[in-house]
Amino acid sequence: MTILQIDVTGTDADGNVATATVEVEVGAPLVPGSPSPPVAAPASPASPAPPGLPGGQTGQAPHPHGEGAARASSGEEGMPAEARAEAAEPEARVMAAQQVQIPGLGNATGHKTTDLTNAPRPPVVTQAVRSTTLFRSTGGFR
Amino acid sequence: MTTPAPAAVTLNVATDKPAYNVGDTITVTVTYSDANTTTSTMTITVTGTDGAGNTANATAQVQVNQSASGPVTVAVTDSFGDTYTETSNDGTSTSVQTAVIGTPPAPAPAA
Repeated sequence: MTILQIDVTGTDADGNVATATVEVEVGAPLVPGSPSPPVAAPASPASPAPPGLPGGQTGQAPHPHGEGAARASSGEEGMPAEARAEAAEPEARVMAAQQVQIPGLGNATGHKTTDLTNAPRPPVVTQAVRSTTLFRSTGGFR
Repeated sequence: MTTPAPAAVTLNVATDKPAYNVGDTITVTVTYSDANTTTSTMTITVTGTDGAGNTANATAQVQVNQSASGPVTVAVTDSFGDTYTETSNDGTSTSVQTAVIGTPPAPAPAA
């Protein structure tokens, strides 16, 4: 993967200028039939405005919702990251779809279910053994 | 919502994907406001809770314009030297630019 840096410059009618930079990953062309590469773009570091641009500031952001994103404005501090995930993020749960054969109906797409009736079961404890009985049988504690 | 920011040109840049392959078309959407636009930043907080009570929080900030923006001229360049074409600019808030990603420049030879 190679990082592609994209620089954006905006100029309003009064000549005020702002710049912003965003980075994306670029890989080699895909071979037909091969799976898509993972898509995780890194946040890019802040970079100064080009010389000569009045008050230019750039701000960077991570990539919320799978997109590259950045915000910048002139004449003020660069904006903070636009989105961030905090701790205790629940794990993603993925249920894979599979092709199942339904007699008489051909192929249909459905979700795999697991039959638990034949699954191993833990031993069941039905009675606790009293320790006093064990000691008496071995002749101890008289 | 925070107090209105001082007058400034504001750019928000988003790409349509975070990762591309050479030869892909990249679309860059630039949302802007000019220096005469009164803007405020609004923070959105989202909380998700699963069945076990685990929670996750995320925040996002968006810009809220409180007055109309004039046009902003937008230019896009990248580190591969690709050529961007502005496919639209509504003159009030959004410019959309596209390019075909070329091959990366060859790395400089080691000294």
